Amino acid sequence: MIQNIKKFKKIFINKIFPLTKKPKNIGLSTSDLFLWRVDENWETFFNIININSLFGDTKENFVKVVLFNEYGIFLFEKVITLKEYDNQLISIKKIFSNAKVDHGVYGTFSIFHSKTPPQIIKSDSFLAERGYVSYKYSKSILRSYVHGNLDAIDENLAPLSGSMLFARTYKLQYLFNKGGKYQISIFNPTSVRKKIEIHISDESKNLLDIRSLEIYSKGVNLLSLEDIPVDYFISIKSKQAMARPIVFSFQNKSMDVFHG
Amino acid sequence: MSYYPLLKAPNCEGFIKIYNFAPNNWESKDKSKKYLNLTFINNNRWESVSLGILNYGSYKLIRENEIKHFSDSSIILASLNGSKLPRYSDELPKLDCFKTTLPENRATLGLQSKKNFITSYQGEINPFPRGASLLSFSPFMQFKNNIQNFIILVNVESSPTYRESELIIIDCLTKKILKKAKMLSNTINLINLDKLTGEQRSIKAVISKDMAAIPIYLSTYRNGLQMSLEHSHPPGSFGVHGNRFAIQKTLKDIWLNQKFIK
Repeated sequence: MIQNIKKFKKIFINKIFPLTKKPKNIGLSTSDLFLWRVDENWETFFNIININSLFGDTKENFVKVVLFNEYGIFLFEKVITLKEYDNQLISIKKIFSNAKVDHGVYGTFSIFHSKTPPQIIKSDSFLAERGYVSYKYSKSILRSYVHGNLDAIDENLAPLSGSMLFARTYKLQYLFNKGGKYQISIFNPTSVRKKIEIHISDESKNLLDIRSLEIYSKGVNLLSLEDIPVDYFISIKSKQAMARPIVFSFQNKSMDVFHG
Repeated sequence: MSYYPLLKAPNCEGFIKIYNFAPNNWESKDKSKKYLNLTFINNNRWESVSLGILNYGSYKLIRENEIKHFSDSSIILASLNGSKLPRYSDELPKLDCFKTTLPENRATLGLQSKKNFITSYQGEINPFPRGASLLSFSPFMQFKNNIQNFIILVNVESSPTYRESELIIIDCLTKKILKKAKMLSNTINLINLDKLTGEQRSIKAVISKDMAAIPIYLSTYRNGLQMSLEHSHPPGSFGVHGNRFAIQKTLKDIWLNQKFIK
């Protein structure tokens, strides 16, 4: 009986506050909000693959790369042609250098495929770009990869993530090392500005610090965490359905990046 | 709750950081202590040993070099459970720990190179059905001087046996087979991808018709001076909402039934 009540409650909450809302029109493609970082130390890349090819479409296809600044303000978009079975590595730095816009040092971007394979439409689904971003830091040769995971926005640029009535807490199952240098990026894939609290606690769960942020719709915040003298955990309190961050862990002149 | 595999790679030590707390505050209120277990294959049975108790809120770092005396099994799985696991079992024990979905309860699964670079991802594994298939479209490979590329295929099945399967890697454009390799169940299968030829800019597909695995891609620069580790999404992830299993089935029907696949 109690199990059934819990199950019903979960279904009810998911229905009222879905993790991802459905786009309004059939055939609209969706994308994660990915983080771009571009300055003298950072380069950002994305592998765009011709998803339609994989479903049997042998024609050329197109994707639209849409870039926003850290406040979620639209900067510009670029259309890229994909050949059959293309796996094209694009550089955000190169796109910016051709576009000549004032962009800042980080922000978000999304990738929208111009067509949705009919098999996806037939499955009552929407094409989702959750692909693979890679970053080069300092003078590294290797790119460090991280995947997308949140169906954040549709090709009409409507944010798709749900907001909750009450704040909920996402707890990173990751131990940050004392004295280590980290940066975490938190996105806002909802339609309104969001207040976020980062709670930093030691291993015994004693609260060490709270950092408060405001993140604009479609925007991102990049928070530095360094020189904290003990090992620690972080949790993220917000009204977002799931405030799942990207973590950059710095090691000498290199870094590792992963989904938190 | 899931199992957490210990990764292995050349010139690296695998590690697992496992946590006794849920990744969110809305799916699980369980604050009980848990038994920390290691499970591996010994004489065609699963053997589990307890590493002690993990209190709520705490974590444990498990390093390959500290536990290798337990087993030279091709896979070592960490787990948390409300009670001690049976010492021996003919099927991988089902765990009675809390379960979450947003996201799944995960551990930090990582590799530390001899040059002290650490790379990790947040992951978990649940046993695959015997005979399930694998289809991964990989954009991760980085072909440059002094960079080595590997795919780490992590398979866990309930039965404590080593089943063999053929893995093939194809160029989706030319439909040529670029590599064939053997993979085993209940194993961290490590396959070097450096000699893959094929079109530089075409998608490569990693396929096994009768063995599923988590496909993790590792690139390592100068034997571990820097590394990159990430897994690919399952093919159903090309869709959101609706019937994602149907999308996955469509793609598997297309790619697993190509003529070049015997």
